[in-house]
Amino acid sequence: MKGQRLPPQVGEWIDRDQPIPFRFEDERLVGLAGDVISSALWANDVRMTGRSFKYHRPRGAYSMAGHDANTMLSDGVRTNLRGDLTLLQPEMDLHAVNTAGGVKGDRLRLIERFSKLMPVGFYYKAFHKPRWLFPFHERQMRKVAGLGRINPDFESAASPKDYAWCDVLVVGSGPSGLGAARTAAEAGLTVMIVEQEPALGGSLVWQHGRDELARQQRLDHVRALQKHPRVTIRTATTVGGVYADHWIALFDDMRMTKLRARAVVLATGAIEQPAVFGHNDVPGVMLASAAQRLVRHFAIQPFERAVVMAANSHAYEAALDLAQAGVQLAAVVDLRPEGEPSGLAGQVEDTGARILTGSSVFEARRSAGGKTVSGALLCPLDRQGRAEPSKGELMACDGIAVSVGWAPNASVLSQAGVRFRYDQRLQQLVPDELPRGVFVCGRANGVYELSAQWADGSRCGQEAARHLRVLSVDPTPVGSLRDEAPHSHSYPIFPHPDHKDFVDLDEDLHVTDFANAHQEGYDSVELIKRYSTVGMGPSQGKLANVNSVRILARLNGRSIEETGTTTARPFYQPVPLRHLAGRRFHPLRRTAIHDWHAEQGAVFVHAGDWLRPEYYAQDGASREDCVLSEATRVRRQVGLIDLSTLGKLIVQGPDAVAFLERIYTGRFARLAVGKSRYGVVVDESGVLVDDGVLARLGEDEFYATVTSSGAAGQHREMLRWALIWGLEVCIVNATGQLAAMNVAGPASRAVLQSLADVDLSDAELPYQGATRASVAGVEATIMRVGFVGELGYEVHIPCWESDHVWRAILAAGSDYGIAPFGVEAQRLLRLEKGHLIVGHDTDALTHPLEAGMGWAISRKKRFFVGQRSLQVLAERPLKRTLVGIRWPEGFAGDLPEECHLVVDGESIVGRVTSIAHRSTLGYPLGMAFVDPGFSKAGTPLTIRLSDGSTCTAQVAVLPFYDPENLRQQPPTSGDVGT
Amino acid sequence: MSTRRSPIQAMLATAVGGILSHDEKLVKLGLKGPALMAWLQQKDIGVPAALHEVHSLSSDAVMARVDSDEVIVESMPDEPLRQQILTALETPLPGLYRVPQQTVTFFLPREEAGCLVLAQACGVNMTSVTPETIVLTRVAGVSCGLIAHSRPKARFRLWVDYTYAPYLWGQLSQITSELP
Repeated sequence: MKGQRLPPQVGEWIDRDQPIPFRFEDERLVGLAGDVISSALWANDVRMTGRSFKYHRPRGAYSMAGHDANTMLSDGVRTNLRGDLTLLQPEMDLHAVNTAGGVKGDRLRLIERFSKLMPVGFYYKAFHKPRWLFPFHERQMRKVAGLGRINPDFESAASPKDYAWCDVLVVGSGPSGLGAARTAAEAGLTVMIVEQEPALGGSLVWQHGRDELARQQRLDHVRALQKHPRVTIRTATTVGGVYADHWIALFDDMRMTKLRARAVVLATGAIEQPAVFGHNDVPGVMLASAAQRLVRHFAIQPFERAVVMAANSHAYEAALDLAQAGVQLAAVVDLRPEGEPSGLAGQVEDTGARILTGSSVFEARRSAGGKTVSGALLCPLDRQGRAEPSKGELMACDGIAVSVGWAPNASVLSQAGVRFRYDQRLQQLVPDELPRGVFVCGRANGVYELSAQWADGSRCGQEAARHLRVLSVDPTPVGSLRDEAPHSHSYPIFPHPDHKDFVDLDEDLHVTDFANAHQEGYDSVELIKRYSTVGMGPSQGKLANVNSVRILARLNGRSIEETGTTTARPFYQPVPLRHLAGRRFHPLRRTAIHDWHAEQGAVFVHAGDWLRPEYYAQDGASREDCVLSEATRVRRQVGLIDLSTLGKLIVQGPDAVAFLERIYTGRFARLAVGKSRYGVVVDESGVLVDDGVLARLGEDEFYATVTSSGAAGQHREMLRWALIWGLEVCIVNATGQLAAMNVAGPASRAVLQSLADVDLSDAELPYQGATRASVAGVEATIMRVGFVGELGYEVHIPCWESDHVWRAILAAGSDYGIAPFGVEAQRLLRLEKGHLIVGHDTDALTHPLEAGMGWAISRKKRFFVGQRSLQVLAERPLKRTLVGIRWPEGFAGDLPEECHLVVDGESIVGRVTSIAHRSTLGYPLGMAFVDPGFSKAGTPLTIRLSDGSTCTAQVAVLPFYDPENLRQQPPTSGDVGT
Repeated sequence: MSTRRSPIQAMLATAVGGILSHDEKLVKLGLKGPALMAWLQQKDIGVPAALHEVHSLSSDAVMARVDSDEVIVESMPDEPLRQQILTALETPLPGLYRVPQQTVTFFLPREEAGCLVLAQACGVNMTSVTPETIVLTRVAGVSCGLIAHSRPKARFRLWVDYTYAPYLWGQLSQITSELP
């Protein structure tokens, strides 16, 4: 059969003019465009496409619909590809996953010899003693278990995740799906049809290939939908998950689409279910629908000589399809004592096939090596439906096609909130309660007859249109469309003494495993699932759950309805993680002067969303040298730093003063226009949450800086309080609108004065003064600040014009030796000055009293947020205190990093919050939180380093630099708001 | 010499096929406050009546009502209405505040390509948004204002924070370059 295809089939997917070369397990093969991997392999007579998960038994194409994990492959860096659903691509280099040494020579196949030692749940009971050996066991288990391997060299690739919208989503494109879509579209709705397979038609193609009327109906509907302006068709797309409010995750080879539909029609069809008999997993045993798919989709003759295992009419249809494809029908083995009531039985007999009623396949006989089917042992069934192998008959064949029943493709239905009941007449679950806006039709709804499926689809299309108020019709009652006869056998399970009668092909679970688990007390469907792992493999139980529930129901002596089913959760099929990640949007903020920084060799550091220059690299200089050089320049000459990341809030209105008095711990009512003051914000529990400078620019207008990362939160919190208090205040977050820069150092006034149109002298703009001005021709707000401990001016200007101002200041300062400094130099300078950084030196529990900021809390105000908590805290002894720490000049030992612990013997008595290994003062210094008993100046502190060694620091008085504040004009007495 | 510099000046070369564009000459004027609406009416300046409604003033200029008491006017610097408002603002009025507006404006065609780009970055169905309204949403994780214009030509106007503009331009350019 190798390389041969059948004559053209109605609706076939392949393009016979396009050969596709590929490799499987290093063998060069050729498929056709339109082939999926599984079909291309079968066309090349490759029957063994994988190895089973636990015993490493040979496995081959089974469902041809992606409902099994038998054909899971890797192609270079792509792994766990579903062979049934993945289109063949030129030069694929395919290898079966889960083998050691290839699918043919898999060394791990020896595991099967020890299968008796590996009953269900054996790994829960073994390997934990002796305890010291567990790591070894774990390593070996991890090597053996699992499927595809992650390639660490895989280059990360973004997936173009997107959004889509429609009025009606129709899932599935069989007769009911096509009918629903066309009806809804013709009612004026936008419709999206999602089909898992590469072409529309569903069962119309593979199941009704001999039916000319069905072919014509399919073509008619498909053409109409393809031309319809309101219809979007997405083939080769899977519904991965259904979430609240008709939020649906669609997956194709490229992406995930987040779809929002106003109504959902689920025409997902039914999944043919396997029969359980001895060695029912051998390559060559497959679902009858899989054999039909090979014939109709890919024009492949599945077998030379076949046995068909039957329990419904479909089996006979499949047998006739096989016969038409040239397969010699050895026998149709019908589980039903009465056999097939329709005329199909006569047609099958006309092919020369024997029909054995009240019989079953008891065992698939295997060729040497167990890699293909060589025959089937057929047995009559007794009155209880048990096989009688003693009366068995061996029949030679190379394929066994199984059609004993169906289960609704219910996973996405369950996710959508559909509730089911077990219909005894149909022997399957049928929808019982539907959520609003969700409709189910076709075989998923228990409707099997073709004309009824068309009608059921139209009914759902009408229901959806009626739900969306574009149509008013009376729907056809559902019950009248369902068949009278069951399409599923109630217990197609025939235990075999070899214990290779598989219920779950993914997990290599056989009938005895369930009996053993039940005997151990796992008697509920949820418990047995977790203990045995049934349904937890890559197929998520699509072929295993129904039979496992049947077995459990029988073991418990209860009905299927009483036994229940497990919960279906997303995803319907495994999906690549990169599809979930999408483009991985990580918003990044750049200051308006970013390009200049980059041109000047800035080394950037992430600060929240922001990118900030950490320092400016200099040829041959280390990071520490660069930072120290920048800081020294500020101390001695003048430096310029980009402060655009500062949070900036504008507070205006007649109640602005009253509002700020309640927000900040300090007093602002008496702050004069043109002056600024440091402010602290605490939350209701007294925790220090933000700080900054408030400048009063008008009677009712304040400009406040807050921490870079706290701006959005502080703005939101202010809005909330303003609303609660009902104050007339206008609060604007100008963080992204305004840039800011600080020109600092002894020469800063001279530099800025040359560009400003206002007098910057001490008389006109003293320390903590603020004014509006024009700087380099740009409207600006200037605030005189001292964060780095030097004479300094913050200049706040509109973003669009900040690059111009930045360059102008640098040009004006060139004669004074001006240069930019980065955030690391700023941290060093402020540390020397003893200024803390909220969120850096403080944590989520720090209150101002322990941070040494009691001076910033007004005791005269009637109210501010957190006041009561601070009053309570003030009455309690402090648990820790923020102190300065230092080492002697020239200290050459190891130094701690931030967050290293301060210890006293075995006790933790503090932690380092900031550290500078080098400073402009010539010695290492930092800050630390310590127990109050260790806070006295001069106290030696033992700090444990990462390697376990310790170093000793000494508590120092803050600030380290300019304690007299001589570098600034001293603040006037009214400026400290206590 | 202009003192203005676009945040994406160095990135404009990444625009693909004319789908994504940017006009650095456009400037914005933000006004807010309880007295705003009465003040505009008193000045005989037409205001969008409904929240999020947008008035097109000229080929490029718009006035968007982004809150019940807040409007943004975007235009060329010499737009007469802008000049009229700026002149009027020289006399302060209680309850009327200027809001710094330094956001950056991108344009996308309001046709398939533009919709495909936005569909990869924004969860709002921009094909069904009422024209001449502003949608305050997130694009590629960044807060934005999006206006679907039907006149004078069909296009999307996107307002984004100056500091996020390079990031967003990069993302949208990347998506644009990968369109089929």
